[in-house]
Amino acid sequence: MKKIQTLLLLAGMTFSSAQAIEVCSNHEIVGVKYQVSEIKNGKQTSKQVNVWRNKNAVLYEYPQTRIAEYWYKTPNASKEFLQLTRYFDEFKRGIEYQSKEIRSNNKQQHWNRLYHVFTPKRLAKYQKSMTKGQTCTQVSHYHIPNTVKQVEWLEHYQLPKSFTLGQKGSTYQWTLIELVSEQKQVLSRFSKRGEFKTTDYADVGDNESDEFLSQMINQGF
Amino acid sequence: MKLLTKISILATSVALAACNGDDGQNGTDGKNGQSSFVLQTVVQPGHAVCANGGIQIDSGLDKDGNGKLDAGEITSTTHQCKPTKTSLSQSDLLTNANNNWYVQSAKSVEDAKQMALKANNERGGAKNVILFVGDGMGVSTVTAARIRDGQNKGMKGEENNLSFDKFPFAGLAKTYNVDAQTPDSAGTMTAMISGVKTDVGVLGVDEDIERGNCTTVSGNELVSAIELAEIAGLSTGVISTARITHATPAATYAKSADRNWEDISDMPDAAKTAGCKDIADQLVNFETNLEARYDGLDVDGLEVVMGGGRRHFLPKDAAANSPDARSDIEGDRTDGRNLVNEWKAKYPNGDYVFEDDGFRAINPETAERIFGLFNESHMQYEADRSNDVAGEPSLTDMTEKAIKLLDNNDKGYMLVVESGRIDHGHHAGNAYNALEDTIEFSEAIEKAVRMTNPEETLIIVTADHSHVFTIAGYPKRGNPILGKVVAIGKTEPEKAADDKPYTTLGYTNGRGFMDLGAETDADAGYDQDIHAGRADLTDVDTTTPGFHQEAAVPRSSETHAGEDVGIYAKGPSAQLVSGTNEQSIIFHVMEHAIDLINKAETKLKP
Repeated sequence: MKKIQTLLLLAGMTFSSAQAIEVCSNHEIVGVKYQVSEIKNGKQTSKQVNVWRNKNAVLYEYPQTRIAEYWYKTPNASKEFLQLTRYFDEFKRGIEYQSKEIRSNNKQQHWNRLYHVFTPKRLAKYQKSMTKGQTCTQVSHYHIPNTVKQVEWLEHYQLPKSFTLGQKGSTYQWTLIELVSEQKQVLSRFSKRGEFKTTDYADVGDNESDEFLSQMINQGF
Repeated sequence: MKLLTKISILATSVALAACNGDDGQNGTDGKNGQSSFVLQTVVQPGHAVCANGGIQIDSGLDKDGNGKLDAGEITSTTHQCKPTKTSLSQSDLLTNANNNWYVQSAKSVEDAKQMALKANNERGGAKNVILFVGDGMGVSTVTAARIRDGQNKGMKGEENNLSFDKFPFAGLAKTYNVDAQTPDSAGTMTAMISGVKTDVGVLGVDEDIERGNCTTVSGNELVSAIELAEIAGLSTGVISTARITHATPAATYAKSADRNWEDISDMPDAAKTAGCKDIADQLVNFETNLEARYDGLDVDGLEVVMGGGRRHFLPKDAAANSPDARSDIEGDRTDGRNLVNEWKAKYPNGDYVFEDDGFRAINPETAERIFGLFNESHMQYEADRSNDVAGEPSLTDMTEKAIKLLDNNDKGYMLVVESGRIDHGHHAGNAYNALEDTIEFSEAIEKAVRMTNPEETLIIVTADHSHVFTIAGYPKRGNPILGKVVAIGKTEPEKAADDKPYTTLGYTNGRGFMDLGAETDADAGYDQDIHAGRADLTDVDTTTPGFHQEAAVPRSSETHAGEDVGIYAKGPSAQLVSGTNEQSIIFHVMEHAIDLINKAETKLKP
């Protein structure tokens, strides 16, 4: 078993050389917590989004709403499907969706956005300026000249450490506040929701006597 | 008129000439005279005075000199009527008799007379019974699917017939549940298969049940027609495109205080403690449970079980996943049991299949029994079937295979076939999928009709309930049923009071308009925002698979409706289907047709 490590990535923090010589943790099983800030018309709003990755599955947690979205990609390459389950933590219930993106032409790109947070295809349009750090903690800097658009890219995890989109005066920024590579902690996020009772959305119409479904029919899923 | 005036002047002139004096000056012209008119008008049969037609004669003076006899100028009206007929000659009906609608309808009446004469009222006159249930297939769905099917075949559409439209006998079923004006599938299917109307949400138990309370099940269990057929020694089968543990198929074999107890993880602890079994468990142990209820009974269990719903039979363990699993852990069962393996152990000569290739490899002439679970949840919509990971058989394929296997029993068989996803297409507000599944349902019925002898097999087609699905506006004949309303004589869509075009098909409630283009999965709409009310459809192709019709009342899911549904029947005892009935009549027609109770009682006698 690889040595488990939890790395705290705070603004301006660099990885220690001691960590650099460690065997890299499994990039397929990892968690990243982001602060998402948006500045629009001089007003700034922010929220937290936690992204948990477990091989063919990705879990997006939205702590403010206590909703989590679980995406699973079937391993069958010839007929890939994306399955979406939206978990409502407050009710310990989940709804299974056939998402529009599941079989769209942009399915792979949609999955890449979920898996990498910032798609490599999009990153390829940016100009690479420098790379710092050792193998496991290597961070590359990308930008588009004469714009606010820039990305700090964690090469080992293929995830952004931060990225900024938009234009001057109106920006959208994701900043990593914690990276969790302890597998037990990552997997617990999945197993916790795996215990929830789930309902195929196709069955919602036949189950209005279900208190949770009835409430969600009014509130919106 | 001037002519009259001039004659008058001439007469005066002649008189003056006789006096030999000087001619006086001409007098001034007198006023024009008035013309008299007599008008003759042909009146048609049905006229108030001339019942058989004739001529109406109006006369009067043209007082205003406008050259015609206005209504106010008529001073006299008389009639010359045709003589009253005392008999109808062939020539009187020539127009009717030469009309194809007339000819067709007359033939239908002759056919009906013959069917009535040939009707077999004998109890036990049927050897086999097939009950087809279109979940949510209300009358408007049947009509729209009929038109859609016809238009797919290049017809205008309205004149088309679905396979069961051609059945000789039909009636209506009142679908309400004992405790609900608008019903659900659990209560309605229990009524159809057990002969007893019951509450919403419960399976195989009467209205004395308290939904969700396991302890109220005991003593309220009903006997289903499938169970009676099994006891009577008939072969039995249940097919659905929904999960096989879903309400409609489950009502044939399970007794449950809640339709949602599909596997043990769905059940509250109190129900588990009280000893209630989940629905999947009851399916796999159908034979054992039935034998336990009757002393000395020995039955051989369901020969055909096919549908979706693997999740309820497999343990919550990725190791038990099927090769085509769509989830990382396919099974939901929290008791660690693998009911597929238990079924295989119980029926070592049976064939378990999870995909189309395995299904096709089964020889129904030699196979003992089939257990097919083709999807983790519901099977695909027919329009979406080609997108399945491992491939699924169609409802027609499953029906054909089932009949070929079941008819190996000389004593006969009872088969229940549900098209489960018509309901889901409507719930999603997507008429395209609801109609395509209805058409496939019709194909499956056609296959059954062709494969069976009408003198020995009763086939009943019905729905459990309807949906709030409407065919509205005044579209011209042959207008695409999925299209916008184009009026008679027009080529461009009509516009409503809001100056926007509108579709023929729509829903009273639901998620409303969505334009998902070529998307063939109706459920894809559930991840989109609700958009009830009007949308500007001017540039939208409403005939695409991904178009979701507008809805008036915003809801997360479109709802069932409460009006009657059709019952269509052919074969022995089919004539017992007529008029407007409680839905529970369907059990009694089937029971009469095969003499189920007597046969079962005979089998149970020591």
